[in-house]
Amino acid sequence: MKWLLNILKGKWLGHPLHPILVHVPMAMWPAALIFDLLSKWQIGGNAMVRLSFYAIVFGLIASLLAVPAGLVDWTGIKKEKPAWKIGLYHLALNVVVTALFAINLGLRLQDFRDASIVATAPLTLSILGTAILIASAYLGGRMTYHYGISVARMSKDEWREIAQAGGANLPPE
Amino acid sequence: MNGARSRKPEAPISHRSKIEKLKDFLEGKPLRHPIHPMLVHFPIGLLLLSFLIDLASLAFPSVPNLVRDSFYAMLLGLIMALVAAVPGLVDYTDIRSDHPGKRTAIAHMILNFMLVVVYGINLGVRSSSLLDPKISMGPLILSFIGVGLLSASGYLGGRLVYDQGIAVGRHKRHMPTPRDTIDLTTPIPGAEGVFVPIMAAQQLRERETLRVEISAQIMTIVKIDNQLLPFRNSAPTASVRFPKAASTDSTSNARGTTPVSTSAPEKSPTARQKWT
Repeated sequence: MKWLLNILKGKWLGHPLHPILVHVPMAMWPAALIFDLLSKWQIGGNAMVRLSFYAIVFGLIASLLAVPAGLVDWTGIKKEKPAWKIGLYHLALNVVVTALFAINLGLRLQDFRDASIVATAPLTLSILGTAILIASAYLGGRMTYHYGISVARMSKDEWREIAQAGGANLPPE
Repeated sequence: MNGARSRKPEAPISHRSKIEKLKDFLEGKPLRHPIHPMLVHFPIGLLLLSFLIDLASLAFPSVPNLVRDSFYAMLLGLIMALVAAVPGLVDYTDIRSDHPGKRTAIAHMILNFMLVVVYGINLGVRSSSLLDPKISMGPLILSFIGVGLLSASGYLGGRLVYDQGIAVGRHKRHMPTPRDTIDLTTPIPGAEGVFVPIMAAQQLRERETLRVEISAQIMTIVKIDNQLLPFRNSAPTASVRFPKAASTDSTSNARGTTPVSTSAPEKSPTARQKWT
């Protein structure tokens, strides 16, 4: 079990895994919206409708991979830390976004092969999904850049030893 | 002995010039989140998507528009890469010149430059055959090289954040960080309690910090209420021995800093070296 957790934490890579995987949905779903809008403005035609479809699929696959890695990172945060709550909001928003894009994909299944303009319902879902995604991703970014979650996690033991050698007053592990 | 700073110190946040405000904006300080890592999702995702669509065009040549789709994904990815380069360069200029992250950042930048060139050529090569059912070998190889460069560069970018802490907590600072480390040597090697004059401390303004290395010992000097306060940094290597930690001081500007001496004479800025 521990080896699986270590894989999900990205120990083997020296880099947390969740932030790597989330690049894909974070790029694909706003890009799907851009491609939708281009098709709406009649630029690119069916190529754009298809591209948007592929982007949503690729994003969904990667987001499913990112879920376990993200959950492992989140369970590593102490419950009394402010980042824990942010992580919870981040998680809840991500569930909503993923569900919206899954529905979005379902609506496209029938006519993405021939349509040259995206229909209104999937376009609306793309707009809504992207907006929530950006909010959620901002929270994820704040966990790293404001609260330092996953930062220097790989070298934590090493730094602890150094601090202990210096007689620092460390909290228990 | 005299460590002159190679670059002009930055003004505090409250007295920023227009160019410094633009720099703050590109570093994402108003957003309280760095901008470069937000934008890099797009080139990484889109260039990867483009490569996958290339592979799909080989597997399913009967599916229409794949080669064209790949071209559009790549085009948008490259545009976003160029957009992301701007805040990326600004972030780069903010790394202290002797920071271990500097070398990683240079490698990251060189790889990014290479991948922009590779994808630029790739777009040019494939632009003439957008209606092909299958991607041809030349652009496919270029995409393969591009994805390799992208992965390596993305990994280094992640190391910058998750290992070296670049841009982490940066928006919380109200004062600029030291641009480089002033390297000084003690007049009597190995001696205790030797005075080492630090001339650059004279130019410090209120709440500004200076990073000094005196015979392989690193310390930070900060000016608070017109007094120069030196702090011992946490040691760069495990081999450095610490003095017993004193009570934590609210003025310490980074976790792990320990005050070694409480004050220094105001008019002659010197730092007393007190470690064993």
